[in-house]
Amino acid sequence: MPFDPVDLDSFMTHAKALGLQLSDTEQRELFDGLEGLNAMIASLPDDLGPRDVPATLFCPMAADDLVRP
Amino acid sequence: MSSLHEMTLTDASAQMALGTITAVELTQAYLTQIEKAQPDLNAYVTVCAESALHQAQMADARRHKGLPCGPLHGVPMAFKDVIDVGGLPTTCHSKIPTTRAADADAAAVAKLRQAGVVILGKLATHEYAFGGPSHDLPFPPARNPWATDHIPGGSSSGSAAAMAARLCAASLGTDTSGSIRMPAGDCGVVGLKPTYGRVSLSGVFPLSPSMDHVGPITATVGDAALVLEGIAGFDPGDPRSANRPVPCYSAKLGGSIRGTRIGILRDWYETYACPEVTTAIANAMDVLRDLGADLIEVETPPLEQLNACGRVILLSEGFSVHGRNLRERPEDFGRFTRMRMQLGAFVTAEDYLRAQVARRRLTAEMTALFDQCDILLTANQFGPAARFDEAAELFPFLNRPFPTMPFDVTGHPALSLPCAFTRDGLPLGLQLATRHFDEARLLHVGHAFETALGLFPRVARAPYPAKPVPQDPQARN
Repeated sequence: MPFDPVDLDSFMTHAKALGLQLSDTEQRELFDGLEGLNAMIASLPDDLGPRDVPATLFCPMAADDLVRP
Repeated sequence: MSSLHEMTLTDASAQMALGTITAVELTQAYLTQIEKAQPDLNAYVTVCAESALHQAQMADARRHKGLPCGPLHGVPMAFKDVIDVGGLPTTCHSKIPTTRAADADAAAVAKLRQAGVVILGKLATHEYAFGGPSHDLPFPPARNPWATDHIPGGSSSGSAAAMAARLCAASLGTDTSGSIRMPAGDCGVVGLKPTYGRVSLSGVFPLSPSMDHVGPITATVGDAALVLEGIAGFDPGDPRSANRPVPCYSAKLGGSIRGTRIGILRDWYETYACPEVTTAIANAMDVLRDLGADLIEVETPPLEQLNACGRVILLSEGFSVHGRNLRERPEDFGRFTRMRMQLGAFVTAEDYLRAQVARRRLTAEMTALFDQCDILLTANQFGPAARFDEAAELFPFLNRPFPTMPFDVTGHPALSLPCAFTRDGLPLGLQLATRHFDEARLLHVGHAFETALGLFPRVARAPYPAKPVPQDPQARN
């Protein structure tokens, strides 16, 4: 599940825990940006199951042997 | 003969082989042109005049001795400044340097140097190939030679601007969500994103290691074929590199494309593209139909879903690269890079893996399309290059998808081809893609289209207009 803060305060608490240093202006901008990112994440296919295999890092092709030496 | 610096790479190479021009003359022509254009275009971050002339002298000496010289021998090129050139700093257009000077050439640069290429210098980029166009960085942003109050696109901004104004015979860029193809389209030149794994990424500063690509930006498709021949091939030093034979792409150009099945990805652009783009693509389809290609409509995964997949992966991998500096010295990044990269801190491991699972499925679905067709055709961009004041959006990728992103997600090779000018005199591009490792077919079809269209290559010449002036594009050259 994506991180979905209920308000700006909870967002800031999480941002600090992640080690980010944000100015007052940037807090709000990033908070709004996160909303857009979460909408993107929500738009990923929703029928993916635990048996679906992720693309191997560095090898996005369907047949990984295409790129392995 | 046109001015030396305005020749295509192919023509310049042929002239050097005939002995009618020398590498020194050609290199000097580019250096003179760079000096004239740099105040207006900011395309270069580093110019290596002295070493370039020395390399050109060495190239000429080798040719005079009668030693074998390939098509890239003595050809002056420049590289996006995220690509290492031994002895030069790789600035990534940032206050935060990667190193003082690179110890060695990136693998792609080393291959070109071996082929006799003359290195003119390093080219402007969006900060770390991600955060531009920005005015709060150590170097000014590159400008579009067709209208200097417009961006040249990004992130390979200098690579495309330099090609449009012919400040090098060819350049290299990198592409993680469209950063070769978008600026190529915005600047009226050719941009090729090869198959993932086709060109080594050793010595290229990463943005998103599982989606990064290196490729050429050139005046013509034929030039792109020659550069790809020079940089493609297996590199045991890069675990992403593919051990596949490299065809002689330039030898496969020419000939009919009759019967080639071209799938039109209309859904990807009809919602977003401005009318001039839609018209340009319709005209391009007519050209291809006249060449004997069979055009068919195909259905694909939604553009938005492919973009969501790629963006989640890019933001997460990008933060993994820059997280330490973003936490410890955020003020040293430009605002765009800092804000965009920090978004990646909020992507959870579950989100990232979900995107990678989706990626495998989407790649399989896109690959299956090539059972129906040989080439996919869609928009390269939804409109002409934006003005600088229009390009100040903090998170543009959250509001609309990039038509280039899908092929970074799936790894298929994709080619950006200039296809029209707007009424305001700004170039527009279209995009072709094909099966993994079939760049030869992509270049073959692209070359046939370019030849039949007859509108490009074109050179953006000084004085570079500050604002686009409506005019007949035929009058530009």
